Amino acid sequence: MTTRWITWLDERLGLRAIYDTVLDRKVPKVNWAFTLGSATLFLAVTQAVTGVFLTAYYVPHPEQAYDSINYIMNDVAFGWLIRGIHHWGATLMVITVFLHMLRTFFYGAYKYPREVTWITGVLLLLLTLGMGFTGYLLPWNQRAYWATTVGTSITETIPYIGPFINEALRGGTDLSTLTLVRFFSAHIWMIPAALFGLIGVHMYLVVRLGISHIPSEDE
Amino acid sequence: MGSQLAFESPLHTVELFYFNCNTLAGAADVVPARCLEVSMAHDSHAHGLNRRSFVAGVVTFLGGIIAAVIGLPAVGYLLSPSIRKRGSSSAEEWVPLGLIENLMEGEPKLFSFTRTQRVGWEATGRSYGIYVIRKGGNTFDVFSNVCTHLSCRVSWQEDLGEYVCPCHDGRFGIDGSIISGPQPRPLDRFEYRVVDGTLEIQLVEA
Repeated sequence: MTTRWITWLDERLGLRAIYDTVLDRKVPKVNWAFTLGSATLFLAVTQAVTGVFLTAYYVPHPEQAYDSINYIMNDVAFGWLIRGIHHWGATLMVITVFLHMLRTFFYGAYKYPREVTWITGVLLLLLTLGMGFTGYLLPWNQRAYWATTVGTSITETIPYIGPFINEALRGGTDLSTLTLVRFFSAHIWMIPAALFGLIGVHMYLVVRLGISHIPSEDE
Repeated sequence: MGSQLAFESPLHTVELFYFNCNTLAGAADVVPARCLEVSMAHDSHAHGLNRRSFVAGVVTFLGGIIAAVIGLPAVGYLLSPSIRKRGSSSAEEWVPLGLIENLMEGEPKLFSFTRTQRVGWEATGRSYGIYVIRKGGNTFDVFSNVCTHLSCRVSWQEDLGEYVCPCHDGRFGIDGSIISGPQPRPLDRFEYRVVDGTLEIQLVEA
């Protein structure tokens, strides 16, 4: 019965071809370090899902941000779980992205023909750090406020254009409502859009080129 | 059954080596999934479960657990405000005003207090002004001092014997009835009860 449905759908949608191409592709014999990319993808999706749920209560306003998160943590059913997953998933994702990059580097998997995969991967690393940086401000507590104050003021040290970049990031000379709202916007719209777009390119290249084997001693 | 393993790349096809599925040796650095499947299927044929379907089953099972662990709480998370009981400050509630022995007969007395209403994480303060007139024994008139015209606060004028609204000169009698002015209806009343000599009124909030 199920098979009949799948066949019916497959005739019209060609799902099996996608499944075979994406999941049944040939892979060299590799080790557990090769699961780090999948782990990162899994975490990215988890972050997206829990992040979407968090917006059901979170308010990006200086007077309400902290209280709305308190409300999520203490009053909303399973709010602690959703935010906890988002909080720890963020840290874990930075770690897995980094380890994934180290694996790629030490196995020389960035070489021809996978240079573009590597470049998109580096951009994805930067975007992931951007997610961490913008998300860190959103609770609007002392730690968030001062971490962002320090983080944005680092850009000020760039010669000539530094002060301008600092103000552009903050939306003014100091941290304010404008900073919180633009960080929120970047955190839930701009960076994720770029991030998932690039993940698409990255995944396409992985499927198209296949993954590299572990280099042998004489290579 | 020697099968040629070719690592397919759109750019070039690399012939790695000739491979015999029946002699899977440790030397193999690249194992074609097809060979692996065949050999595993051969090994565990008696159980009717090959490696591939086992892994698929485990992945589906674990995926289901992960989806449930996130999915089910997520439903509760979204429905939370409509399921949870409201805080004690909203809905219907009896509020004690004071001992009835302190209330003089026929003399309006004003009770003022502020209540905080919480919706989500937002607390809104709301002030009440209540006029209580003892009519004798345990019967009272309990009025809100909010004018029924445009919600200004009326006050009892001893010399006039009337409640006067400062905004549009609306006047109410001691029993709350309309004497003159633009107000559409008499002063609003609260439900009350006497418990152990204490007068309590019922706050009904929108």
